Amino acid sequence: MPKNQFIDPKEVRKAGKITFKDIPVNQYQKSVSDEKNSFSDDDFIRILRDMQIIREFETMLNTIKTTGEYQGIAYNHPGPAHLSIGQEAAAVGMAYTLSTDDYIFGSHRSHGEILAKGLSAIHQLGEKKLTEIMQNYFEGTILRIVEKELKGDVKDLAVKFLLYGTLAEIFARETGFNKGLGGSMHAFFTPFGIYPNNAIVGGSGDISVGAALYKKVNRKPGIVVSNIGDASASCGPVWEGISFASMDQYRTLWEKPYQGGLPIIFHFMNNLYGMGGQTYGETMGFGILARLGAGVNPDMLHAERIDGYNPLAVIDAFRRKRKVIDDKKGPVLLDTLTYRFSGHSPSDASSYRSKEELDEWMKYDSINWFGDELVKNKIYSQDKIDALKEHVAGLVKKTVALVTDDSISPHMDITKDPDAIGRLMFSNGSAEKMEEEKPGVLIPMEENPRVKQIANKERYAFDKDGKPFSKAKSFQLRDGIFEAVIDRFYKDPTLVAYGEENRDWGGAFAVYRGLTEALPYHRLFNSPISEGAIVGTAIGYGMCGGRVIAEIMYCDFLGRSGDEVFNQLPKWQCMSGDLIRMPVVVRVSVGSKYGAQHSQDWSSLVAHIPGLKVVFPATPYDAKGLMNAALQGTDPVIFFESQRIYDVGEMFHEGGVPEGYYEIPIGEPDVKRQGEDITILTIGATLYQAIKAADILKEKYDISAEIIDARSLVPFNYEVVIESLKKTGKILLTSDACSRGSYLKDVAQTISELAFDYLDAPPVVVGSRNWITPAYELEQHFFPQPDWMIDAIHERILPLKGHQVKNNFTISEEIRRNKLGV
Amino acid sequence: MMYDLGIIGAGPAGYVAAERAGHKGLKVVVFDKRHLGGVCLNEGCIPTKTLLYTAKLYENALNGEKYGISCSKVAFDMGRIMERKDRVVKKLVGGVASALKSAKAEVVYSEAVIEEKKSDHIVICAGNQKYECRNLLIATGSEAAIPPVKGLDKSNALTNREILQLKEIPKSINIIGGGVIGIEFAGFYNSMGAKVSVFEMLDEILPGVDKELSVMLRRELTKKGVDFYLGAKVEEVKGTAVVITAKDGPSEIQADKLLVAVGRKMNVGGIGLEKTGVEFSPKGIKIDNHCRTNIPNIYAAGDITGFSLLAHTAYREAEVAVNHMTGEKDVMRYDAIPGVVYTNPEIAWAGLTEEEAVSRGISFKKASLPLAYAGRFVAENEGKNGLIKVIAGEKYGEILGVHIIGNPSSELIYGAAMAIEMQMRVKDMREIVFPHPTVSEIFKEIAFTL
Ligand SMILES: Cc1cc2nc3c(=O)[nH]c(=O)nc-3n(C[C@H](O)[C@H](O)[C@H](O)COP(=O)(O)OP(=O)(O)OC[C@H]3O[C@@H](n4cnc5c(N)ncnc54)[C@H](O)[C@@H]3O)c2cc1C
Ligand SMILES: Cc1ncc(C[n+]2csc(CCOP(=O)(O)OP(=O)(O)O)c2C)c(N)n1
Repeated sequence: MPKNQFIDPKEVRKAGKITFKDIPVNQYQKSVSDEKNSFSDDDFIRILRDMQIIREFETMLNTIKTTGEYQGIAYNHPGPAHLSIGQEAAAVGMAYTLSTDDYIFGSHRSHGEILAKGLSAIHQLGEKKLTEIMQNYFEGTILRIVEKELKGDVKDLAVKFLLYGTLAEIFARETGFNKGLGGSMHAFFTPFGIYPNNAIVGGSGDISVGAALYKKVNRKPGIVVSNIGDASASCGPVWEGISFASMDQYRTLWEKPYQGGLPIIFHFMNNLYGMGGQTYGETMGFGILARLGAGVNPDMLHAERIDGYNPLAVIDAFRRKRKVIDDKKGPVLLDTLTYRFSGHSPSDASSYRSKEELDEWMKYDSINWFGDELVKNKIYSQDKIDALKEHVAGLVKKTVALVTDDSISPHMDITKDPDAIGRLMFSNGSAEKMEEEKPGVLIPMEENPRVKQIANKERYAFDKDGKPFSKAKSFQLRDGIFEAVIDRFYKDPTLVAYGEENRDWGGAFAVYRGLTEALPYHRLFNSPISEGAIVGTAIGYGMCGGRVIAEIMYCDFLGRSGDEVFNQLPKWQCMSGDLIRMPVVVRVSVGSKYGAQHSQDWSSLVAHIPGLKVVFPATPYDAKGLMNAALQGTDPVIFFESQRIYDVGEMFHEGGVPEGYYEIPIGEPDVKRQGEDITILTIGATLYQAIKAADILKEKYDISAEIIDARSLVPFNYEVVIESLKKTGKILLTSDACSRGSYLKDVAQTISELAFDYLDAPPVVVGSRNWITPAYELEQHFFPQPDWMIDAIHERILPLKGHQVKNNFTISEEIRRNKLGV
Repeated sequence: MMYDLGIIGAGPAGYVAAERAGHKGLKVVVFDKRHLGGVCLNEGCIPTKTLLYTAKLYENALNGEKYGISCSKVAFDMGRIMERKDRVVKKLVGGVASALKSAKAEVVYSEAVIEEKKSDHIVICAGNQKYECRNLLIATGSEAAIPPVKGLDKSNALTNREILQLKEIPKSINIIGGGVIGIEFAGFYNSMGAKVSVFEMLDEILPGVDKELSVMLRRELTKKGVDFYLGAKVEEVKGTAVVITAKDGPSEIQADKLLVAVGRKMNVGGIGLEKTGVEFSPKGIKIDNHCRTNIPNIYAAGDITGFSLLAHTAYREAEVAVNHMTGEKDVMRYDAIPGVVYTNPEIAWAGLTEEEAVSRGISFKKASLPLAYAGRFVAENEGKNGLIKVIAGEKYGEILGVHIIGNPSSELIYGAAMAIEMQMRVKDMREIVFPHPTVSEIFKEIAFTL
């Protein structure tokens, strides 16, 4: 809470009531005859054409899925196809007014939205621009195919390009919009403002908010439309996205040009069903979805229900809502009523709805109705409509023929290029800044109080005589992170940082202390307690071209951002087919002392997920260098920090932590102490326990331990460890993660395979117990201690003469504990 | 006072451990609530073997005619027999005492209970004294199990302990349990002229012994007059009479005495083990191949581990435990442990039985040969037959199991145990030179048939 906002008890304790405005429901009741002045005949016809293209495209997929052929072309598509037959008017109406500066995000059922948005963009863009886009996209690969086989003028060609790129993507062809790596549920094409749809219901709910944030912070034109289903209205990411998008601070605290609500429309494509669960009358309680806006903010999200069976109603709503957003009064919620004739997927037996209901809705099929309107108003004849349908069917048929021809549209050849997917998992870019603008800061860096304070600190932990400096005098690990972060804020104008209590407080562990003085609100702010949206919005921000540091206060809260961290952040670079970058650093603080839900090291969980870089520095030197590397890169990095060691000084890097900029390459373990008899590999704060163990080993048993600090979990260079093993032949691996299923178990297993010939004993992992983390007073029984390490070495690796164990590392005990699952 | 090793129980496991550890320079204390030597010396191996030898002499005297020797007025004096047995026991127990003395192991004749497990040692309480031990060996052994059978309890039934104190040979005796102990007692009392009935729940005596040999022994004993009731579940005991359900209804078999020999119960209770977190197996204390429990400084050896129940296994386990705790590499292997049934004739074996090889899915070849192929056997066993059976790996011919019935197989079997332990092949066996004439030549003989 900023101090300038005074909460007056007299004010907040006063009696009163909350009043609500009416939420309009299907207020627009006009049809073609009423709107002749606002639309040209061509506009009307285009609306019909676009709806027809979507209808035919989806029908084609349905036919292929259910009969294995389309217009005589046999094809088997084993992948998904969530079709939107029946929902065309909503999609076309949504896209009609949007420009390429406006971004749409989607769901599993977004083919229609992609086509509608693409067709709208093609209509709006000049030929030159269109040609340029097609020529630049994957060096013109798709264009060449379309040009050669499907000829036509630029706009025509662009439509074919759109159909081809989308279908090739759905059929997992390397010539698809995303090299076939996205597929039906993850296809997108950013040059037309089409951002990812999402196989996770509600997945776009917070990612799209990040895109809106990107537009606001970087003052980019356009709005963001988050196309999500009605059933997603119960999903956490959607609610968290809405919370994030409707924070008061945009209006109350953000500086002038940035002030005002986020430019986003939560566009619920309300087809009244989830898969089979009915949101109206069964699985939700809102009755009319637009009601949800009422509780969110005093503007009630400008919520409205509109009739998505009338494309003109949808167009009208989007025109009006854009104005709301232009007035900086976003966000907006639209409940666009629609209905799907197709099943959830082609295997859907429609056991959850009656034939009567389906038939009744089909009577109102918007394509028929709109066509009839055009005929009635003499804008288009029935013959022409029939010809249009035929033309569209021909277009789709040609597209199918082209896409299913393996010689023209091959799948990725992993045999020929085994690394084809691997190469796309990370972009491995190096970019000082994501844009050229001057970064917005409040004071010169030298004047920053924290910077000044750090200038007086000792950058190496020990004095000339080897005596440690006091904590207060020492340059600490948190200072190392701070230096890297503030440095980047003064270099990269797009960089923003947020999370819980980041501003004013300086982050719960004072890493950001001093940043508040340096940065305006729009670059550093407090988020709602929405860990999902903290990461989700960062994903949207990153994929739009910004750099972001999101903070998760305790590693234990990472579960709350499970989908974002497991499904979204790691996947989009590769699923885009190299279209987007993801310069997102998620700082995750690993706790202790606060018990079972505040003390877990979950680095193993994220290390398991392909597509994330994972680091866990344990010294100020490494923390600064790795943060610099993370912030210079273009990949998602989960940056673990241990609360146990935020205050350690630099004890290893001679000369201390350099004042200037330097990077530590992500993926390189570091030998922190050389030795000959045994290697100890550590992750995170356990380094310091291992050092103590090594001291005892030396003193009591004359064994010299080589200590390697992993520093990074993913990527990881095994060569450093193998080199050490050639000398020692023995290795103990230790970290604060619970040992079962931990990343170190994986490393140990890999080492067994890679270095079997050098090993005199099995690699042994000493992790935390497979328990809850108990209270601080009992922590020494939970987290690895130096004497555990020595006992484990004695029991499993190298019997130590005269050593009497205190802890249980017997084989039988390990078996017994495993049997019990503890 | 801090000891390097505390041992609870001074049976074969306990006293051997104490001896070995003492000689290795460990400060050792060993506790026993009864006497040195445990079951083996006092109420197991030694007294039974002493008696069985007496019985064999008696039987030979009665049957001297076969060898051209006539003995008249062959008789025995049970009082003197038992006296001699006690002397043997006393002598051997005395031997253990002096061995422990020379190993500088302290012996405490008192029940020992674990009082507390500290981080690096264990506190034992015995006779109101406390002993702190860095390592602990549990060697409390086993005692006869009394099954829950109606009417059966210690008042009417004898166990190995009481029967070894009988001053007279009863006219008849019922023995519940056809395992090694039951059969050895059956053999003894049969030789000494008692009417013996053996009740076995399974369909053959001596479970775990090669079936072919068990059957041969049972037939031999039947010929000598022992009654076997196989597949006989004892329903009830009425005094010393046994009630079983046979095919044609229940029948009641009377006898003067009743011996229960249905298995052993491990002495795991009352020692304070629950305070240590030691893990139990269904039968006893669970150990790893270093004879260590799941607790780093607690070891267990002997019957308490619940599966071998042999004194020589106990010895070896004790040695492995002591070696491991002193940092000497050693691993307990159970593949070549010999077993003997000291009846007349004896059965002895080492390694896998044919039944085990089949159930474990091992491909093997086998051969058997009458012991009469060894001249010495013919010379010394007038009118008797014997058999040797060898199981060897199909592919490499490594010897996996050797089974012999006939005297003196107990003294030969170590040779088989060595062959198995050293992973000798049939081919290697052929190259060994055996003394002639001995019964052991049968090994070489059979090697040529495999
Ligand atoms: C009738 C019979 C015949 C047998 N014949 C043979 C044979 O021929 N060959 C063979 O190999 N095996 C034979 N056995 C088996 C053999 O006796 C055992 O395998 C062997 O004695 C096991 O040795 P141990 O050290 O494990 O235990 P035990 O010999 O049972 O010794 C355990 C000792 O621990 C003591 N003790 C228990 N609890 C405590 C306590 N809390 N405090 C202090 N002291 C305690 C007991 O008093 C006992 O002395 C025979 C057994 C029986 C019953
Ligand atoms: C997180 C998640 N849960 C469940 C699913 C399975 N699923 C796919 S679509 C769907 C229904 C979604 O309904 P809605 O959001 O209304 O969109 P619609 O399918 O109606 O277009 C479900 C449950 C999923 N993909 N993701």
